[in-house]
Amino acid sequence: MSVLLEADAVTRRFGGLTAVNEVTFSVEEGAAVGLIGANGAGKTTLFNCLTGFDKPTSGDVRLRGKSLLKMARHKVVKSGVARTFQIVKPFPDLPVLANVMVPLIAGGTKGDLRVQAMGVLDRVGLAHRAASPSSQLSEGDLKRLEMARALATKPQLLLLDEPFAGLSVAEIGVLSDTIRQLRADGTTLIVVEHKIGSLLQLVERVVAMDQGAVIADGEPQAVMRDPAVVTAYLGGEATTHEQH
Amino acid sequence: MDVLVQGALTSAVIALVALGFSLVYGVGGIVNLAHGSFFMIGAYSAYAMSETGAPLLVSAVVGVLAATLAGVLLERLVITPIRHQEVAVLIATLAVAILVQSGVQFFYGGLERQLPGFVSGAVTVFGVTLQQTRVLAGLVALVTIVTVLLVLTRTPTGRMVRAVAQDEEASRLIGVRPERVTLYVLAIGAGLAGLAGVLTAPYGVLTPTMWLLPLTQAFAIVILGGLGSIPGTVLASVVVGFLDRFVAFNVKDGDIKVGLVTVAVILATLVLRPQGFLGKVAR
Amino acid sequence: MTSTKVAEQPAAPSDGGSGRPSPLKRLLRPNPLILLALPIVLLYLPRFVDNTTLLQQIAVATIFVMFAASWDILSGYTGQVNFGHAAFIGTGAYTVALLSKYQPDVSNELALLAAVGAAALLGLLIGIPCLRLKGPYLALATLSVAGALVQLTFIFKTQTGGEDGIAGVKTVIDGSLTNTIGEGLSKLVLGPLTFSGLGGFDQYIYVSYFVTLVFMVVMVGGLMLLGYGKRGLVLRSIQQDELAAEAAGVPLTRYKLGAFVLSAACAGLAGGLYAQVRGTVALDLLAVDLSLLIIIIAAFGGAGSIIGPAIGAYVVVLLQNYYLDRATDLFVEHPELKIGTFALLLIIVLIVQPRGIVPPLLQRLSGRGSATRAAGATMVEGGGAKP
Repeated sequence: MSVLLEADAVTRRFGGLTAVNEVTFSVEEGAAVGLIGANGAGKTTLFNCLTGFDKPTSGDVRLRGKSLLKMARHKVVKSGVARTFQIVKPFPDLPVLANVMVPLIAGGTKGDLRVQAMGVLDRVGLAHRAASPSSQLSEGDLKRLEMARALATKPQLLLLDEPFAGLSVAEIGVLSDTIRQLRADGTTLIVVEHKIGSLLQLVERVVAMDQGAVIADGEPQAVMRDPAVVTAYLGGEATTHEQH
Repeated sequence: MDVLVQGALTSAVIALVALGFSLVYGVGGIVNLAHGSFFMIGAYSAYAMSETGAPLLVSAVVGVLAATLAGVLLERLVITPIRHQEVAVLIATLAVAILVQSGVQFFYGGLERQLPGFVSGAVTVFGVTLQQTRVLAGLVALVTIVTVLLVLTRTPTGRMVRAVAQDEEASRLIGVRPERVTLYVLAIGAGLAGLAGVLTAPYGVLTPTMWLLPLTQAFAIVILGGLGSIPGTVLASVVVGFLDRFVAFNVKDGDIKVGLVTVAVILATLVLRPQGFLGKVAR
Repeated sequence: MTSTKVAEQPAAPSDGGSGRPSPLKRLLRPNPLILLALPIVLLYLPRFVDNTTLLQQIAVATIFVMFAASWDILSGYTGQVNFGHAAFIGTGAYTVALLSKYQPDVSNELALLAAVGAAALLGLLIGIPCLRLKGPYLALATLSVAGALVQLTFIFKTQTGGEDGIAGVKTVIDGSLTNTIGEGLSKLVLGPLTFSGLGGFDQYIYVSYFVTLVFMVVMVGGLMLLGYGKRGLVLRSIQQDELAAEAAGVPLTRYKLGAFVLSAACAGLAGGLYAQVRGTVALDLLAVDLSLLIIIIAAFGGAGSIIGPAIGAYVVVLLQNYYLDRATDLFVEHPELKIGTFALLLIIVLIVQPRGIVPPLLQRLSGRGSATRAAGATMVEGGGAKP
């Protein structure tokens, strides 16, 4: 397995606050990695740095050895990194199908875009809502739409920011199946999630963060037993607040 | 020296307009494209009163009151119903500006008008000879601004206004009603702009399109100083005021190039530092 | 990697002929009947209407259709609402007028091209600083630029004529292309003999009428093809949520700046043509009144559809220049009251029915403003999901 993504001493400061501190890790091709941590641990900021939506104060992010830092956001997407947002960002007045056509158009996809967009919607189980305005979707369907739009960029690496937040148990089950299918199709995944139980069924590796730094990295069960992780989860909640 | 003294006087008058514009943005998140119209309403109302033979001082007071009333009406009738729809507020207030322009043109025609001076003759300050009306305008503006700043920083009312400007939700929690504060600030801002209109009426010219330049200058000041920042507004007013006079004195046909320079300042600021030179990141 | 299983899927719902058109269909395709009927009706109208004053005003309205449509491709589509569209129109018009005054040898066609170029350049110059601007900043910046151009005409008063403007601009009759189109269509619709029998001024009106119609159909047709095609969809996505569009791989700068320049270029062409139709240019072509009138037109016709503002332009401009004058003498004596009336109507519509009369524009204007404002500087989550 070759390395797909490398974060090299990524640091992001906002004024006096260090949201991400010297984070270094790499993700192998085809892997599925969970990213956990209390609110304010720096997960979303790290996500933004990895996907070009934020520039690290120092450090480097490389995809197959090539730095992503100097790239415009759409170039990062073009080079194969896609993301979803913690709070879904559909194009609300556009129908579901059109939402998925936008990344296809932007990616210069040839052929019948509707058919291809339907194909992507099918992968996330949203084909039956293709014609609905996306403002009419349920929260669970919006998460799917968000994922479909990311998938339509044909990513090698997909970063999911809290895909299960706000979903019912049943919805989580269905979405988990979808995500497992993506993996089976060969997409590399990094998933931020607070619902640890559901997350652990999807990933074979977990990176835990606290106060901007990586405190544990490895097998899910080992990471969850790590004393630092236990402390961070039980003790850290009240002292920090989430960075957006 | 010419430029320094005149620049100071001009700055004070410009700050009078910009302060209200900035406060209204800071407090209500409202960008009022009809703000320049208050300036015009002040000037034309004073002119109208003086035409009826009323004493100048009475005319001036009427001018300021008319602008204040216009501010109240604008807030109650137009802005309140659409307060949270940013672009709708922009369009509606621009429509108000054009409506006022069309009304002024209807009553007074497109011709240039001028208010008689409150004082006449010239005065020499630091070896610079100045029209007394300009000096009076600058001094009154200066005193007014200092008063407004003192009220803002030293009184409970002022603190309430600044609290809303900083965090509307938080101020709601401590019992302040932001809607009410918006009304006050808009009324006062309109009155200040009206006062500026009255003060400059004797040496400026009154035309139905005179609202645009003060609006542009207020905008330049506000982006230079950072939207909603009071010290930024005052400092930027000084910059724009001096620039205004500098251009007027040192460039051929300077008086008509003032607006152009203002726009250049705006565009340059937007390119170099969209958050303004003094303000925090625009909200 | 992407395993599509289209075969198992029913065809995209919008393709089926199942009664009620789907939202997608409605979004992506306007009613083609109206689109075809409009130019044909307008083409043959002079056969049945011989009121040349009315025809002249329809020609002017046709120009305004181009103003409004060119505004819409930027403001209605990407949501960068331009409050100073007159800057582009005036730049085009003054370019043509100045060329006609100082370089009378330059052909009318070349002058129009120059108008396009000048306006496009201005669009680029304003577009770059405006890229990062939202709502109020963009409004004030565009408004100020138009104001600055008015000042420029005063500074170069000897050349531009200041308040008096420039008269004696070479008209559509003087241009070989425009005259050929205009005369050809006049003879086609009216019959060659009828046209030749007309007086010079009437001929000029008919030529103007048909030339503006042809330019309008080409421009509006082109903008609609763009707006209802793939690129239009991308432009809409930008308006809905810029960050999401970027996450979808949209090159934001290219599209936003492209829309700015295209909008400016089209406005410049229409402005230049207007100068050749009127034979004069004046400050009304740069004034805030004109910029607001275009917003009014778009607001009544529905922004973000090209065709909506186009139809709105006919209604508003014919009211303004023809029907209101015939309704009461007040408007003849005080033409400034017309824009005032429209402004008042607009204010009332915005207050009373912020979503109703003009759904497409106002839907966007409502509610999401603050989220759009927040989205620019930082990664503030929660933009635009719910109205």
